[in-house]
Amino acid sequence: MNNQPILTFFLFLSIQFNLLGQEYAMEKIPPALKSRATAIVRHESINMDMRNENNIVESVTRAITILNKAGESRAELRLFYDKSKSIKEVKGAVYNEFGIQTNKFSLKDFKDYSATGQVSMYDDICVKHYKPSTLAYPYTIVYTYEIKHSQNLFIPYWRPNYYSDMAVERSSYQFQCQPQQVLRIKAENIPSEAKVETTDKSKTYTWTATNLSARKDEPFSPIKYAEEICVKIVPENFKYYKKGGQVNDWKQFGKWVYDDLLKDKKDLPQAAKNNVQDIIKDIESPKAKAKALYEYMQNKTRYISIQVGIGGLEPFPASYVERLGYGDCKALVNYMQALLDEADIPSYYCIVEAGNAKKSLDTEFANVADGNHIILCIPFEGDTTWLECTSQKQPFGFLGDFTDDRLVLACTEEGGKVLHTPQYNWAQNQQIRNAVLHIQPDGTVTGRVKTTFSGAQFHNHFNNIFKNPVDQNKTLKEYYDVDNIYFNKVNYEISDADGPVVVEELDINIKSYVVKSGNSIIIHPNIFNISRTIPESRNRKNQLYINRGYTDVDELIFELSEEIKEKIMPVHKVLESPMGAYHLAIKQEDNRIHFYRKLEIKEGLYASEDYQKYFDFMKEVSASDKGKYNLPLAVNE
Amino acid sequence: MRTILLLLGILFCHFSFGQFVELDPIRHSDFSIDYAQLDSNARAVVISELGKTTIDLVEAERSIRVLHRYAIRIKINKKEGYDKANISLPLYKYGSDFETIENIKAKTYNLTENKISISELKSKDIYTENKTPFLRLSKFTLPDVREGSVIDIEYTITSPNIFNYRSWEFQSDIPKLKSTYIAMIPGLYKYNVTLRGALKLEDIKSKVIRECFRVGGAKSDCSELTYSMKNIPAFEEEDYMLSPQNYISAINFEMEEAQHLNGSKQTYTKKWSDVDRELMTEKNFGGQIKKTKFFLGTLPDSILSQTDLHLKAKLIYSHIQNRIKWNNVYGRYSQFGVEESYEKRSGNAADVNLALIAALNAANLEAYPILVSTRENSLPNPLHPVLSDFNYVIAGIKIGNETILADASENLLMFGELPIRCINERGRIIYSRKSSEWIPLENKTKSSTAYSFSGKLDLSGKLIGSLTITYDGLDALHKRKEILRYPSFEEYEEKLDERLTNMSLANIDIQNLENPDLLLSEQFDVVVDIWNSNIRPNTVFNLNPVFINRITRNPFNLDERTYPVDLGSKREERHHFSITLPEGITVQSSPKATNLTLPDGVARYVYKNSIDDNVLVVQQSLSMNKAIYDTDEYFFLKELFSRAIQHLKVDYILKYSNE
Repeated sequence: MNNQPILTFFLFLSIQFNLLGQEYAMEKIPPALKSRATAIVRHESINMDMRNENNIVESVTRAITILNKAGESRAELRLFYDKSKSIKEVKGAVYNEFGIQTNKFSLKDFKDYSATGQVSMYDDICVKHYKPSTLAYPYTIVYTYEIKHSQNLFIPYWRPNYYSDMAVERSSYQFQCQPQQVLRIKAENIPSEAKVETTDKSKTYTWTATNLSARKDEPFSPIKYAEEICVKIVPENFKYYKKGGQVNDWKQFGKWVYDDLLKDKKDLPQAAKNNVQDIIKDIESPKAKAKALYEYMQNKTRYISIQVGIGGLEPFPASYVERLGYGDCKALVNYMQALLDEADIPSYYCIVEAGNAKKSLDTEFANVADGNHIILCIPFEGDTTWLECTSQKQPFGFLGDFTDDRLVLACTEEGGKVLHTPQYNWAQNQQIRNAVLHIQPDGTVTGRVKTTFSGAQFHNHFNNIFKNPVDQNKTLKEYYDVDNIYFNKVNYEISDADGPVVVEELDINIKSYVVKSGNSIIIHPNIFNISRTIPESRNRKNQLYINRGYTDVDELIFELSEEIKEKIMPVHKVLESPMGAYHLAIKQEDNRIHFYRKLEIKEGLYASEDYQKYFDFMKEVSASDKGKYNLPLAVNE
Repeated sequence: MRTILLLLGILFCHFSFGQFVELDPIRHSDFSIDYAQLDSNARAVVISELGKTTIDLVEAERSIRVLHRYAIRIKINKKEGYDKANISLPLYKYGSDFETIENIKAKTYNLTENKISISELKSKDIYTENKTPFLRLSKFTLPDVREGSVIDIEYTITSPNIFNYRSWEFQSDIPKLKSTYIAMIPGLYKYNVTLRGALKLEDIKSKVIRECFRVGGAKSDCSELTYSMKNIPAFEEEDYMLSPQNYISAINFEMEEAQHLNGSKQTYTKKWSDVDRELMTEKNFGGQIKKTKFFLGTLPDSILSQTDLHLKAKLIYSHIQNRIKWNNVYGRYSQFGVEESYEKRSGNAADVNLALIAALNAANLEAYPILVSTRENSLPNPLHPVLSDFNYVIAGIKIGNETILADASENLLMFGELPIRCINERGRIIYSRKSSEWIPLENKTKSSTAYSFSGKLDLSGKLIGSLTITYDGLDALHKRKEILRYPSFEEYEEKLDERLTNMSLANIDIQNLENPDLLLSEQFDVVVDIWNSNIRPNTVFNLNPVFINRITRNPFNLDERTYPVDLGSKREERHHFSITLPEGITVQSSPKATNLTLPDGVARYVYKNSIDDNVLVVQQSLSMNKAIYDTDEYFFLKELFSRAIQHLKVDYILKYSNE
């Protein structure tokens, strides 16, 4: 008897689902939204109900029409969970193009696996993953799920137009909390202001977006899509794995990190302290002391990432690193800081968003989600020095392209300070190559090639230094992908000239590089550095962004062993554009051909119209780089 | 299997595990060990590696387990060798039981001022990651590792898989001075033992250990087999090779026979005839093929009434291809069953292909399953059946004297062709009424791409005309997939146009994109930049008619080659370009025709050109007429590519005079 109402309810529900299905018919999609889209969000509602600091219920309902095979991955649902995040309920269904239900699914249809990536040895994040099995397009997947968050420091953002290939018919984001709750909200590019409703019991914000088109991904676009809609919410008072805090700006945030996560972590055992004293005892200058301690740390430790619970934010103490000889970025920076403390050298634990793309933290909005890495800053007077502590090989005081030129947060006793990491500009990022090469009568080219790499190009061939000769040779064949190239001798050195420099010296032999055709030889003098064109970008919308500039010089001298009837016509070509300059000079003196090529690419942000200039420039550079020359031989006829 | 476990499970048992394998005590000499002869640049070197496998009745589980005891001592020479101190051990699930790991001990020894210090791994620093519902990883890393450290790692893995237990790999990515493996096998069991790889065993010892295995009152002797190798070089992977597992020196065990305590014997995978029978009676294999009634009821009449057998087979193939989506899971056994897969339109490789076989049989076509070991796996054992070697199943369709190979898991694949993952030397075709046999897994169709251009050279310095690219074989499959990654043809064309910066494309026409039985072709109107300005009178300029996909780099660039080159299929790339020259253009010099053929015609490069009535015709082809080349042939291929690259450096030199 008791079953009756439930049954009716289910019956009702399933009818409801089927009726709903009709609204997913393809014909209901506004045609304009189909342009460039692989999938369309038909409707999406994300609801965050913050009942208290330890309890946020995230309820999501979403219907996505997958238009074609290219959109397949947009139908996949990945729900991550860990100790602070549990999946309460999931159900969904799949509809065909006419809106008729063909399948349904629930949590038992999900695959469950750990989400530990390549970087970490261990973390406690897992994922439940669902992928519909549908061969016929279009189809619509509709699902609802509920996730409980037992913290309120990381609240999922609203980013409805994050995927460029997915259009949105309608999306809404709702945040609900107690009326007295103070929130910090950062809303970017929102189509309209939030609707706010307040009652005695709650306060509700609702953002809505409709009819967002898919767009073209454009090469050399700024790191962030200029019109990305984004709402971030951070409560003023937060709880995270039993730690709590109150933060309104970066200063307070840095203070919280310092006081709550770092303060007691520099617990070096006495033996380790003695070691430090031993290392620095004969060194005068603080910078030389820091360098000695940095090298000591590099030899003693290695990078191993273990992230469990609060361990995602809080470092393991210095004693742990001392005992085990390993740690993640947080633990190693904290350890290095402890060593420096012992030498009375003050330093800052700095939060940075690492990666080749230069992402700064948002100065206006203090947020724990900014930053994925920690580096160390030593504020020597007039000589601020930065240390990457996870590398056993990095030269002292060098950051490289992983953390350069961006805003970071130094967490100090006085609170957070926003600092800027050093920039390596196009003039400093050098690759300078010199070679004297001999062309033998059979076309074989032999000689010595010396290349120096510095600035952000320091790392170009850096890793090859440490490989064994077999692997070194294999990698060199990738760097210098020339048919028949052979490396007789390989030598690397690291020197210092206003920053670290890699010097690579190669004795090479390239069989049959110079080809004979009739009574001529054909020479392509630019053996090693042929620039590629950049893709065209029609109807460009985004600005042109060059993340990192550089300067490459290739200066090769070819010695001919055969007499040439006519000297090569001298070439002197200079190309200029706002994004860079190219200089090509070829001339012959006696039996020596001098080849000089210089390419400068300047980092920065340029107007979208300038893309064409850059394209034209690179196209001409590439064509010039490929230039071949026919040299008629002086033969006795 | 169940019978033995039950039988032994109820009896009281005692088994002496014998001495654990143990590493020698650490000595100063371990830090100065000489490995220069082996590989003076090794980032790390194995000083000693020991393994011992025993079979035991584990009382807690009341069932038989295989115990793998393992111990290794490694010298870390450089920072690059630190990865050898990071351990991740896979533990698999068999039935409802996971393998377990016990007695993990790991120590780091450092030598400072002639004193050896020891740092030990603590059990709280050992992590278990639940990678998937079927795989756990036991993970740990050693403490205090530095350049010059010596590390010891020991553990025991207990596995319910007594039938086909872990291989012993003598070779790894770092060199080893010594590797010794002991298998203690109770006389009740008989295993097939196979040695793989090119390296020779230093020693094999065999002795009988009396009464080593006691179950209840009964006692059984064991054979203790000891295999060892010394001075083992590191294994280096190369491009275009089959799975490294085929070449890494290793020893494998698979159970052949088990004797019950009452004296009766049970054979496992002994003869192919037994395997054939086992498979055909297996619910998730033979049982699925028998579901012909189901397919009689679901296949459309238009297919069933076909009289042309080849066409009928093709229609059924296409029907299954488009009906059941492969869920990216391999398998020799059906995961959901063919009926459920057909209804739910999703299944693993066995679901898809057993459904194909059942459907073909339903339509009175002769079709059989073929067991396949996929390409990233090792080749199946050629001598005796090792069922667990196979992880995939495809269909073999007999029409007349021909056996057509079919895999319906790729819906863009041509009928009668296999995706690259299935091409791994040979598979085993399982007939129901006669003994199974080996069948070569290869594609009849060459993977080929042909470029054809017809157009004119314009005095503005551009080539204007029509370019057609035709794809066949696996090239067609890959291209189809690529095109379908774009939401529309327009966007594909746009991307292509933006990428091919020396030309502009328009009016794309793609033929047979979703009809894999016909050649895939794409045609464009193209304008190619040859000269960056107008061609002025009395100037000399270069023209290389091969303006698309010209060979400029050599895929075979190694100085030494150890393993055969396996391309997966025969390959060919052709160009046929015809260019009408404007009035007033004369050819000053042109590349020579060439024809380079490797011995026995196994590969060939041909370049032919002509000029007739101002029409310049260039035909070029590079064909590799075998899928597999041996190590010696590598250097022929290298040279052939090199010659082609050199040949293509030579341009036409043209002169324009408007008199």
